[in-house]
Amino acid sequence: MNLAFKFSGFSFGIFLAACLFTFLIILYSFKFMEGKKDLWKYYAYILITLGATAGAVFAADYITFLMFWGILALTLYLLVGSGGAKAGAAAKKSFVIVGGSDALMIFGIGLIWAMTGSVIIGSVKIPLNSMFPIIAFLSLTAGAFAKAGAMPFHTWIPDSAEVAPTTVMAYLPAALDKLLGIYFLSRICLDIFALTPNSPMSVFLMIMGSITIMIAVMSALVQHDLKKLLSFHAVSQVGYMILGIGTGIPVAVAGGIFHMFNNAIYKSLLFLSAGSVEKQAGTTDLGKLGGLAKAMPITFACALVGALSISGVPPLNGFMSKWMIYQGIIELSGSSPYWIIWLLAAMFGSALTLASFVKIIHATFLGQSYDPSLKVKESSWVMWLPMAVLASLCVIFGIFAYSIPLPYLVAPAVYGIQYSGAWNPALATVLTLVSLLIGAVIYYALGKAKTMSSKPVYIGGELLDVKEVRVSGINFYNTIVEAGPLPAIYKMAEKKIFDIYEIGKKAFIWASTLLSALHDGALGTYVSWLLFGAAVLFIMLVR
Amino acid sequence: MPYVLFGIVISAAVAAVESKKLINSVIAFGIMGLSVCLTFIIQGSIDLALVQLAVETALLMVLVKATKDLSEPESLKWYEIVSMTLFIILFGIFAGYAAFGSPVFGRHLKEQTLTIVEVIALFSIGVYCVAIKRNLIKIIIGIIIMEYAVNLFLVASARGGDLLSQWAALVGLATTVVMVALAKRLYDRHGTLDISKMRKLKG
Repeated sequence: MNLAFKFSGFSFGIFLAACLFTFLIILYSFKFMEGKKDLWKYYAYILITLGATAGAVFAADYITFLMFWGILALTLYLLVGSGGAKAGAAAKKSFVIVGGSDALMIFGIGLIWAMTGSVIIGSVKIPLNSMFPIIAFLSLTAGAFAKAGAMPFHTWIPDSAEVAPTTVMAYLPAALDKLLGIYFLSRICLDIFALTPNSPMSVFLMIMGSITIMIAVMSALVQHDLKKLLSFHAVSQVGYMILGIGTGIPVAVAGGIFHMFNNAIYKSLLFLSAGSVEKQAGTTDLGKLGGLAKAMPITFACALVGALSISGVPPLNGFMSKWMIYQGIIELSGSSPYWIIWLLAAMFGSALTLASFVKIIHATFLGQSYDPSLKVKESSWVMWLPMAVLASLCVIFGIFAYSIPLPYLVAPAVYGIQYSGAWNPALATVLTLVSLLIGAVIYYALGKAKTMSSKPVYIGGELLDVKEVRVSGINFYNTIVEAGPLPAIYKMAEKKIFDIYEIGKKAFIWASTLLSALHDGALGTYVSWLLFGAAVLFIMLVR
Repeated sequence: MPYVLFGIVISAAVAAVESKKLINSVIAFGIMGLSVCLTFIIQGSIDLALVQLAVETALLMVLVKATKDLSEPESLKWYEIVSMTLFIILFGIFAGYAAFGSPVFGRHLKEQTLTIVEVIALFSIGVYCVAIKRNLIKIIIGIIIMEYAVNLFLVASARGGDLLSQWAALVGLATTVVMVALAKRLYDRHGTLDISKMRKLKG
């Protein structure tokens, strides 16, 4: 068997990003994973993941690609499972969802092979106008969706976030799996199939993207755990990439791919910040954190950059890629009346993202601390250096978007990008900085900063415990949970009614009870089946 | 002479499968086995006939020892009858095709229509016994009948077939002894030889 590889600028960009993340995560892990058991396995799995990533992105034919893709599912299982005994169920779930979608992919690749007679990726561009190409397209898309964590195959990410080590979350679902899943999706849409704007499959992708953005961000709003909240954003952001690639307009496709790089950077950064908080404060429960900004200034600054970036605040990188996606959607306005829905979903999702990050930043870093007697220190340089690198990348990719990332990372993948909106990041940055500076001058010059004072709170002469009076931030959005039909939906989501894994499990158990009814335990029945089978065999042989 | 032997073998096999009392069916089985020995002699396989005689005697002793006389309730299910009938018909057609269409190994099967019919009939009776009967000892008898059919076919089809059949007969003796031992264990455990009452595999 021959392994076939092909070098392209796009693959190389992905591989470069994967190398960077691997390096940073391993550096971070030296301190974060200190003292854990079986560390040699952990590092080995991470390096195997990098190797398999290289194989998958450089693969030239489907067989090679599937082989490395399968190795990635395995290392995902092993890495999530390295969270200890309680991580077993989540690891199994990840493996079942990702592996099951691999089976669909094999089916789709079989169809493509039957249609084109070639296993070389993208040798023939298949038009999406009849049934078999559409089935193949959907099967391959399912694989990409499960890897990237888009709805409805997203449920393994929040489950893993609760139990897996935070570095694993920052490495796989936040960074590498996004890169791989969206890389594959863009190959599907750009090379393997001919996806035209406003075709049914394009609309399908945009619907999935919008649903993913909205539902995941609504779920994120009500979470109480830092890591779980971040994991729902890891799902929500995939929606933007799918929306962008699904439009079929070059600038939005480029925006989707650029968003993939940006998302990997800031989501990894946010998970690493969460890991830093977890390591130093001992918990990720938002109700038990608070006031860490003074104790951990570097972590706070990095998390703030990540939070602003993911919310799409200019001039950071998240804004830049979302802006390109918006441009593509607005370009659709000439040909499709539904463009306003996609635009609203994307913008509203962005606003809700900002809202939930207000909650995170307040509950973790601002406000009053939960337990003032606990002395929290800044994490060591081994941990904050990777975060600082990623945070500065967020800034650089935003401000110098047109000169660094877009020409080198994104342009090799997409032909004919035309930027229509006027946006000059450097000028905007300067203006933002100047306005911030003026604001700071006014604030300090007028002396407002000094007038705030804090006093202990008494009721009837009794000194109240800080834990009872402080505003922790976890209840910021309870009004949303209690509005309209949402409470019922949230309750159903809590019971995992919408979880494709649980639905599949129920269907499987139902089918197996059906089959076990055939086993009546009597020899006569089994012999009858045997004879029946032999009779069928005879018919086939004599015919 | 071959026609008389053919009649004896088939009717003894039917009696072994169908008689109500287990001891009767074991006796009928003995008659059948000895008639098969005679058929081997007519076919010219003296060695095999000797081996078969010894094996048959040992088998009879084992089976008589294992016999527990039980009246067996029979409740046939439709799918058992359907699949069995289907199998026997198709098996007959297939075996006929195979026997008359296969290459020659030394003896012409076309000249031995009677033996081929005997083999097919014996095998079908064995299948019927295994599929329909509820008593473990009868099922074992059914399996041995099928084995005889195979031996007969080997002898009829090739000159070296009797050497193979000697081995097959000996191995058949060993497996029968193991089966009877298992039946004994099952009887001790469940208090019955009726397999429709042993339902540990029920899903």
